[in-house]
Amino acid sequence: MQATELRGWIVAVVTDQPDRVLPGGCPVFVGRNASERERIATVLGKVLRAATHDLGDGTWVLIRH
Amino acid sequence: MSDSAIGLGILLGAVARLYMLRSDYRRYPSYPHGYVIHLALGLVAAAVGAVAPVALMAREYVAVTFLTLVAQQFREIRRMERESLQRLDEWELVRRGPDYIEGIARVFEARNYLVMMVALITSWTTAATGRRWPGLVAGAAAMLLAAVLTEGQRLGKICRVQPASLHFRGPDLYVGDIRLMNVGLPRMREEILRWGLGLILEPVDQNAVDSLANVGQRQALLHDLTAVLGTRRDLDVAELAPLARRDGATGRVGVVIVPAEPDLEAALEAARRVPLLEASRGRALKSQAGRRAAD
Repeated sequence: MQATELRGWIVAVVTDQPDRVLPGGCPVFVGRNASERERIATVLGKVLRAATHDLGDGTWVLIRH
Repeated sequence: MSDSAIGLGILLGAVARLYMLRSDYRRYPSYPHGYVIHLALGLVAAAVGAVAPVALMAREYVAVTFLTLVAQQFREIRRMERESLQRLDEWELVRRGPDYIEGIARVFEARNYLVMMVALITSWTTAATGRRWPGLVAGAAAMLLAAVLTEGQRLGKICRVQPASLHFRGPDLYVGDIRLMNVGLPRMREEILRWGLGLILEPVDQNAVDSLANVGQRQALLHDLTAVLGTRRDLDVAELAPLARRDGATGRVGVVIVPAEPDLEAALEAARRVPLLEASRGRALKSQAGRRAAD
């Protein structure tokens, strides 16, 4: 993990707006609301060693840098 | 007299190696076996350096070939240091990075040449004057000179290091006006705001801009900051990794660290003392076109 370098790939997508995400090669997890989305993202971020980034529309991408 | 010339040369050479072995928080080695390895090789370097002038004075010109043989060995030291540091680096939470490692490995090779030089000067002066005191003085002077010449620059010399506030605009973390990264989880944002420290490094000239732009130099900075202050990150909390991002327009670099010990003064001091890596040193102002561009 190079801290100064952006060399990431998307390992998962977590959203509470399923209509805004299309499945495309990486798993998509749907939370029913914001708190469920946060719970899923926290767990996934830890087990996948990925950072959670906010796309701003109720969708988070988990990226391994 | 040649015996005492050789003896004195070896002695001062060994002292020089011992002096250069002093290790601080970021230096390697820091364990007994590392010391033994480098002291032993330093002793060999001192012995060769001390014998050479005496042999030459006795018209034994074959002695020169031994110098080249030893130089070969020193390159081996560089390789050894590089490989062992690279292997250790794989498991560092915040890595040194290849540039820093190459710099350290080079220093270890160079130190042996310096030891050889000190021994050579001591032995030559002693043998040439036929007295011990001039040899001692010349050796000590060579040692001091070596220490001064190899001191190297630090980041504090090429940029102003200042504290800056960390804040979020939406999900984006900023230090001062420099954007660092997008943080999704609200809990991580709280953690960063609560424990994080923000620094801004402002380069003094175009050379400094180039040096700070170097990714290896920034990684070295992050590694040293972490070595001094610790970190709250672990393998499974990627968000708490330290980060250094540059502002492309001005060349300033914004840094966030989430240390175990959030001590701002210590962070500023540590950042200023980060060595300027040879590999990253900016040289724009050395060229005519570069000087013109900087106007």
